[in-house]
Amino acid sequence: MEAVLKINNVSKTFGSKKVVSNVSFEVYAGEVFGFLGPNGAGKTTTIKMIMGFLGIDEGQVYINGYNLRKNYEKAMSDIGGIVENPEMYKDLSGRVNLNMYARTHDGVTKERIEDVINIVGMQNRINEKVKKYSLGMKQRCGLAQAILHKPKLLILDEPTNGLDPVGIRELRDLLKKLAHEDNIAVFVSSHMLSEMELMCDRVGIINNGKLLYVKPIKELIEDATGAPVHRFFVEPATRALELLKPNYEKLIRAAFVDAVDIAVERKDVPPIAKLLVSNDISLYSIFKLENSLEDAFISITGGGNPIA
Amino acid sequence: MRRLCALYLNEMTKITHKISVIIMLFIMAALVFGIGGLMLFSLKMSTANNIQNNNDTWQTQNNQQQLQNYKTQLADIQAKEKTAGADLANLQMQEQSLKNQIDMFQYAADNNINMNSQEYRAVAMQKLFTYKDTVSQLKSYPAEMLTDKQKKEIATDQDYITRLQKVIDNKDYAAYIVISNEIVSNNSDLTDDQKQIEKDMNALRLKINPTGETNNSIYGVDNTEQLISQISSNKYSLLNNFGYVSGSQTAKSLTTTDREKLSNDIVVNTYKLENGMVKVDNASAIRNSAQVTMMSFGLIMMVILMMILAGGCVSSEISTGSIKSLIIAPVRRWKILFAKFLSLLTVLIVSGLFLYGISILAYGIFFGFNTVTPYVFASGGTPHVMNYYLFFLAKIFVNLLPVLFYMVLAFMLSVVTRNTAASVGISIAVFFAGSIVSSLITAFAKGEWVKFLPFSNMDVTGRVFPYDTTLAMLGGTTAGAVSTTIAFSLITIAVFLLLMGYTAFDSFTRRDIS
Repeated sequence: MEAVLKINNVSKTFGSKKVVSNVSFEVYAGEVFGFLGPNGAGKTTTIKMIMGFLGIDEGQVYINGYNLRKNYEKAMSDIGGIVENPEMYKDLSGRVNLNMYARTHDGVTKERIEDVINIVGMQNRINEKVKKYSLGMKQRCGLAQAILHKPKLLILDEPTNGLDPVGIRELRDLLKKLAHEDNIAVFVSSHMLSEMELMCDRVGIINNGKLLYVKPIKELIEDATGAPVHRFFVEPATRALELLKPNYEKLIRAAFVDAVDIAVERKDVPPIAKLLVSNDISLYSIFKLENSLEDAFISITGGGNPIA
Repeated sequence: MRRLCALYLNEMTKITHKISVIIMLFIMAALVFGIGGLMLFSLKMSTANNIQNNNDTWQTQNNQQQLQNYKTQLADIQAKEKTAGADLANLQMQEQSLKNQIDMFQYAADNNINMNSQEYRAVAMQKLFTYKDTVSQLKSYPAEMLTDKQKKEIATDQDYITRLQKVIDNKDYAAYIVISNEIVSNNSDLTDDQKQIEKDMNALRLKINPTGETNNSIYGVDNTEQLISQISSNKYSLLNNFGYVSGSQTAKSLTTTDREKLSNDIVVNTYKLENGMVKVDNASAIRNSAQVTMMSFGLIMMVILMMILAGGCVSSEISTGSIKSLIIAPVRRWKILFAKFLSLLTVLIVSGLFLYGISILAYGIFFGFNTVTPYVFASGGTPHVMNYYLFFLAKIFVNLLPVLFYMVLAFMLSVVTRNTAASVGISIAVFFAGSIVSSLITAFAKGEWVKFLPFSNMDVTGRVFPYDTTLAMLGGTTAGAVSTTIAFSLITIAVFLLLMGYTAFDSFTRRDIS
């Protein structure tokens, strides 16, 4: 698989605050990649850097092989997307907005515009002024713009905002179809895990500007639905981690300053405790985390201060 | 390049859908037609009042009044003479002088000559009576006391008296000019060069007006004499290499440029005289001011329109978020801004043409298309005539320079402040207060730096079209206080435009859009 989007050690600082720090990941053609994180985690900042809104302080972004800094126009011509809310010229009709967008991209035919209008289901209202649209209609219109020029990378920031359940379902099906049938790399950000679960092939979880976790959604679900996660509050945690690694590496879910999360069955808890205690590690408590996807997310993004 | 065109087309689409543009252009048209209509109304009113006739009547009455006054004075003196002792001779001389005056006014009244006019017969008559005065004074001495020179003077004066009499009786302007030239030749105060200038002026007078008839009421003056005196004063300045150059407050020694300017002025005035472009009646004054007012108000509307468009071009897109669809486009940022600038420039030119069209149309409808006069200018001593419609177009386009300046100012502010209200507000404030502040600075500040202010250089029209009598002032009015050449002004304004443009592009390409 080729990496359509390659992010290499990218950082962004606002004032003295490092909003995105050393983030690296890749998005491949034919997959839906979910970018998960709580509000203010740095999702939108990362997306804005990829789409040219913000300058990149450190690191490199490659789109379809083109460096965004050095080959801006070529890199950008393969991107389509919506950042935050879709914003269009309100005094113009949806169709004029689409025509204007089409002009700035190569190879968008009249037929293509009609096709896209049908794909997003706007054929009845495309000639109305955008200011008469509801948020859901604007989302559809924005999506139409985003896919108009058949981009290789589709970036959608919170795309389900304002959509009704039917709309969400249609969007989900459309994105899957685009990725799996048209071999587009789809990059979706969200703070809603349940949505991601249904839509994404792979997820990356970001918090406080750091990318914590990039895995196929199946593994995330396995993590969540397999053996329950037990949190061992230990000291020192780094030495505990070293001790546990030989036997339990695949089961370690997260490591913190004062704790280690391990997915193990009930019967495996005493041997681990024994191992830790016999090696002079202070074990303060063992805590069984709830076994749900939401909790997995929260435990990854919010539980304690991550060290890795 | 293709994408720049696409962005430009998009910007044009956006602007043409803006209701504010249509409203402003509509207001512009309404103002132009409204002013035209008002001016026509005032013209109609003044004609209806028939001021001209009243004026003639008043002047005739005035002449009668003067005649009456002299007669009363004469009666007074005659009464005093009866009781006078030593100063009898003096009183008799006054009596004689008054009698001459009375003769003159009586004669004028009989021959229907307006003594207060500059008509040649009035002038000839005044000369005639001056000679009569001199002759009668000389004759009052005993004949044996007169010198040969004085005797000769009596002879020539009497010759003039008879000839001037003939001029007045026969209305013979050509003969009058011949006499004038002789008087000039006999004037020993003048040098040969000066005599030549006076004779040239006389020749010009005869050439442009063979019959010598003029329309002399206040509301229907032609400015032949004014132009001729301008020409002769310019010729004197050239002769002495010292004098006033238009725009200067004091007389000074002439430079080469001054000399060139004065000679060109002479050429233009001569051309105007020879081609009958000398009428300055009430109607033409109103027509000129209508034309200027229409254009000035149109230009003010245009400045406001351009400031609103430029002041919102980036900031409004940022505040509504529509900038996103521009940033996502696969084009470098400078192209986005450049397309915006080009679209503003297009609106500037199109609205300039629109103003040209409606001004011409309104003027034609209200005052008639045939009342326009071409623009006459001179270079290198030869007169050139510019078609009126071409001239008016050129004039509007020269006036677009200050509009462009304020547009770029608002454009830069829009990019830098990202606040539409601030950018439009500041640029409108600068537009209205700039020339006032600049005048204050010019009045109080000493130093050369004042001439580097943009406002000191904004009035380009007056210097591009120095022979235009109907100037519209959009820029500063400080051109007189700070004298700079047109090239200096253009360079200064260009530098300011480049600086503002650079600031805008630098800010737009480098700053984050969040």
